[in-house]
Amino acid sequence: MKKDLQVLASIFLVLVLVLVVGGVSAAESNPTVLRTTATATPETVDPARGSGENDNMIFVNVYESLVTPNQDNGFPEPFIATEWTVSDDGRSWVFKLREDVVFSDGNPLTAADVKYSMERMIEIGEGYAFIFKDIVNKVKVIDNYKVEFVLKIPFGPFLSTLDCFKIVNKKLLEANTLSEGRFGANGDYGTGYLLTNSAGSGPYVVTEFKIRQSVQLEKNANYWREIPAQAPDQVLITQVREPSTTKMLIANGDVDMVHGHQTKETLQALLKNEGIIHGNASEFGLNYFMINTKKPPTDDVHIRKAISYATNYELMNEIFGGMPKAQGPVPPTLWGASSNFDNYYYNPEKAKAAIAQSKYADTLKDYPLDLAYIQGNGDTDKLAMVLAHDLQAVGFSVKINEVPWVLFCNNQKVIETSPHITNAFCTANYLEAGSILEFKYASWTTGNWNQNEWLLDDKFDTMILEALGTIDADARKQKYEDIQKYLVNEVVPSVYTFVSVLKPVWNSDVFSWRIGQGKPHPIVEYNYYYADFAMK
Amino acid sequence: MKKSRVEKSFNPRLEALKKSWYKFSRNPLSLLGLSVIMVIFFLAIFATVLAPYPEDSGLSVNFTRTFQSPSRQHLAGTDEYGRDIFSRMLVGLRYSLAIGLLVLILAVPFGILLGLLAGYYKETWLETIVMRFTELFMSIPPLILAMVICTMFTNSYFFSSVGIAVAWWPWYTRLTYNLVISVSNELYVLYAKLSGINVLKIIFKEILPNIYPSILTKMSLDMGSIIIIASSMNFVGLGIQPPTPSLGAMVSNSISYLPEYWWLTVFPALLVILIVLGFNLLGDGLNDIMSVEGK
Amino acid sequence: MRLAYLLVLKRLIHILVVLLVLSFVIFAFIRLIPGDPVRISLGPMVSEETVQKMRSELYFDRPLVIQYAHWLKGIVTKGDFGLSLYTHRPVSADIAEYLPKSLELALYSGIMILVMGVLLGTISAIFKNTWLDNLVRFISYLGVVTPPYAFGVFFMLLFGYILKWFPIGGMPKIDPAMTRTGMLGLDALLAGDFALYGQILKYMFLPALSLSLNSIAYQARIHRSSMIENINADYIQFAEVAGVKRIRLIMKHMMKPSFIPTFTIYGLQVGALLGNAFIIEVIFRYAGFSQYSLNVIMNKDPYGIVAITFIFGIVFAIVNMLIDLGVSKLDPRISLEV
Repeated sequence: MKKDLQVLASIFLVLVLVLVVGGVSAAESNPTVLRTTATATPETVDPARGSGENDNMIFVNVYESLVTPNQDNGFPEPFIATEWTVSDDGRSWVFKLREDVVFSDGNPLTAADVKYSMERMIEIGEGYAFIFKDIVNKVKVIDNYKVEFVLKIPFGPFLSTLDCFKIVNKKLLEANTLSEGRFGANGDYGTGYLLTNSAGSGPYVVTEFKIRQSVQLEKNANYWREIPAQAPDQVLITQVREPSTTKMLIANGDVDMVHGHQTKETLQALLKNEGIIHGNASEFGLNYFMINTKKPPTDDVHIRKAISYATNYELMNEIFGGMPKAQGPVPPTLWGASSNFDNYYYNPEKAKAAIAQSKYADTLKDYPLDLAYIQGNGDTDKLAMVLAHDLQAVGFSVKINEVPWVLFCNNQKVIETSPHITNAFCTANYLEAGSILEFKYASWTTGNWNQNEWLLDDKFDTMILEALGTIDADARKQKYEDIQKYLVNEVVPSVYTFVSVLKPVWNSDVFSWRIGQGKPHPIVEYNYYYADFAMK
Repeated sequence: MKKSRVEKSFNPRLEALKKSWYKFSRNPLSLLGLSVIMVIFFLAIFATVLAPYPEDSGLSVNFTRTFQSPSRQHLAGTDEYGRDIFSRMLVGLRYSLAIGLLVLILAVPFGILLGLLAGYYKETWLETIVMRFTELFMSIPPLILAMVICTMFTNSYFFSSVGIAVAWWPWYTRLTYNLVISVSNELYVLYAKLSGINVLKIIFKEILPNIYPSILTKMSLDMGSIIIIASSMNFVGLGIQPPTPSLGAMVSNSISYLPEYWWLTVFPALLVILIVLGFNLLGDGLNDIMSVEGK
Repeated sequence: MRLAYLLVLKRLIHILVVLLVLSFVIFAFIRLIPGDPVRISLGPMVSEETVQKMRSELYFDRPLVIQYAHWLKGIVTKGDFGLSLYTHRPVSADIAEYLPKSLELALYSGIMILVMGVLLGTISAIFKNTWLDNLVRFISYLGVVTPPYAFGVFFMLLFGYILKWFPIGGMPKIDPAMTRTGMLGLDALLAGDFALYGQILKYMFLPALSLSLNSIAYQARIHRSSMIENINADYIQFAEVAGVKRIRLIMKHMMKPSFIPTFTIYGLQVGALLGNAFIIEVIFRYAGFSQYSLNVIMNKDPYGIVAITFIFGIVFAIVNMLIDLGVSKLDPRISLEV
């Protein structure tokens, strides 16, 4: 035993020694590295499988689309496609492609890649497939650089949606497709390869991916355009959620930038460090209290009105450190947004009056309200507390539930387990009011956490289908406005608290970027287009 | 007739208890543990009376006085909602103790029952089944098992206790089983068995009184562990729901305000440590009197 | 020694039976619970058809017994534990990536527990009832009653943020070409890169310490009382009277018998490290098996949950077996029951 102890002791000594030696020697590498954090890494780096903000932050750097949003107003402009024509019935779109685009492995990007990418996305069925699967009938290769999309129905916002469609490298993926998989003749459709690799034509390539840990990007050596020299050679995105860790990482200079969803207190603490500044970028999304319209007592419109009047909008806005005011169901800067109706404001007396009008006036206490929010979702816990407090003051009884993300999604699957009220941020998928209206209120998008309202309203369904099918822009806009008026005045499905704003924090001594110059890109993910970053 | 007169003047149980108390009271640490526990239970029971701001344990927000450092008005400062942390700690004590008691109430009787059965019916199929079943549950870490249960059902105060209890009973089964085996070799039990006394009577009259001190000791030590496990589950959002305060949730929720607003974390954490310390000292004190008795 | 082999064999069969039952129960359980795991994984916007395709690939559309048989066949023939709905890749790949990391963390924690625990316990016992003993006992009391996450947060603030001696969580980068065992430190050593190994140790030190402090304190208390019991033993008292030097006495005659309870407790503590590490792994952003377990549980990933319980069961059984073997080696009087 004594011998064993001696061995153990010497092992321990060696460990300590190596530790000391290892600490002294640390070599620095030459390439410029941008180190940043995200609330989460994507689950895969496959553009056919992701649709969240964290996915898109990677996708915009690695993949490219037929069109690209204008950096001032977000409208689609030519990119991989130089020009296009649309048939009179709005069901055939022909795109002419640039001929100088190559993928990161040097292969040219052709019409066959476009066709493959769209078919692959629809077949896999994840990510943004829900936008395209009911619209796109087929894709035809006309020649190497000309491709036609045949639509099932005329779809007004088609061009805008194309930003959600990323083009992947057909040859590379086919070479890396496993024959065994759930996609029949297509095997695994290259999903295994794209778990950790990229196959795009963008200015960066994915060199390392660890789910829920980190993503590493490197400059694409074969990029078909010039990447500015001052753009970072390498980008390391690490998942860091805990605010105290974030603060320590910034204070110690271990990261150059942190994600834009910090709480007010964290933001203030971060800004105390030298060289650390923050910027604002409005998102095309709002913070919503989504009210279940199918469960008692919130199935009564008067109760929903009461909740809208019991919401202390100003206080909530202050908690988040000052955000633009929401004017209705659609973020005010989104194309097609309207404020041509009377919105609700904080007035407990009016709330009480609305309760008195409802059929639950005398039995309100028998229906305790479930108020749920997502665990660790910034300061939304405070919003829930404020609302619960005010609802109690006007006569409701309220139960708050902090729910882990996965359970939150799971509860929204059916009406029965959907809470009376949930709080979350919902964002448009493409730049039109129709996107968020359909996503949040249409009958065919129920069962998702963006629609705790369970509207299931025939009149709304008809209106939104009609609007989306309208090719003429002005007419479409008018129809969007009518829908918003209908929602706010007659249905009252949600409380619109404020516009969601991204507030990234970074070290101004390390780099400069678009948001720092006060010119945020209208589409939030494009702010993280690392080729536009200038390292110092 | 004679016998009962003797019992009146000399009650062996009472004498043994007196003797144990004498031994227990000679150890200052054990006494400290006992007094800590008594004070904590006192505070928990009268929390709403003693708390300067009892309403702060419920749905209360006061954004004009957020993040105030400890002062005479707010002994432990205020939190992100402007609530008095000291008041919340007092009420939180209740829930932390309650979760410990709830788990023990659910787990201990069940565990003891199985342990008694397996131990008494040693070398039968009953023993095999019970002990294999016990091992099955012991092989999964309690925290993991409790989390699985809690995510599978509803995420609430009650189900997190059930989850922990499901992970906890096997340890009582094993302890009881070992104790019963060692006790059943004692002469008085063998004698009782041979003389054909009812099984239940043997278990309750002869076995249980001899093993309960060990179980009590373990329960005291476990109160601390359960409170720590429950607070660990708060870290991933499982268990008690806001605004109801529990000490663990108070710690885990306010870690994000470190290091600037340290009082949000430090005071509840210290109270957790104090409770666990109290139960450990008490448990060790109980253990000491028994190991001396055993010799 | 033959006896030992027999014991190992019997225990292994025993483990296998327990694990088979356990995995079947979990499978049944997962199918019973509300919430479709495939739907959870794919998200709400995916069409029913896509979900059905995935369900069919995972055998969730087949009867329970068939699904279980398929799963078992996969393990036996290919070492395949099924597809994780959380990482979208085979669970075996996840285990290969995460388990070694946690094992390595547990290894360093285990070393710390043994060395520090025994050291403190011995000091306490030798200097029984002096101020040194009281100090050590006080510290071990605090160590036992403080939640591990409190240590984690406190150390990270003190040593990472204020003193800047250690990094604030995370893991060092290691060249993928270097990866052989999946244990970062071991891989660095195998590649002969000592500077990297030192760096890795630096990253591991705080999590390993936070993870082991509870056990160190507990170990010290056990070892102390066990040593004291031996000091009071007749043969030691006799040797002391006979003039054997005290230090020699302690090192030579007392260490071995005192190690029996120490060793038993040690085994249990190390066995529990893997399951208890998850908060430490979360706080230090250490991508190990405990954190993976947490994620698969929260995501209701069926094959992942079955696999982690499987692994925990195996670890528990192996640790128990090692304890029994070790104890019997330390004390020949304790016979192995076969």
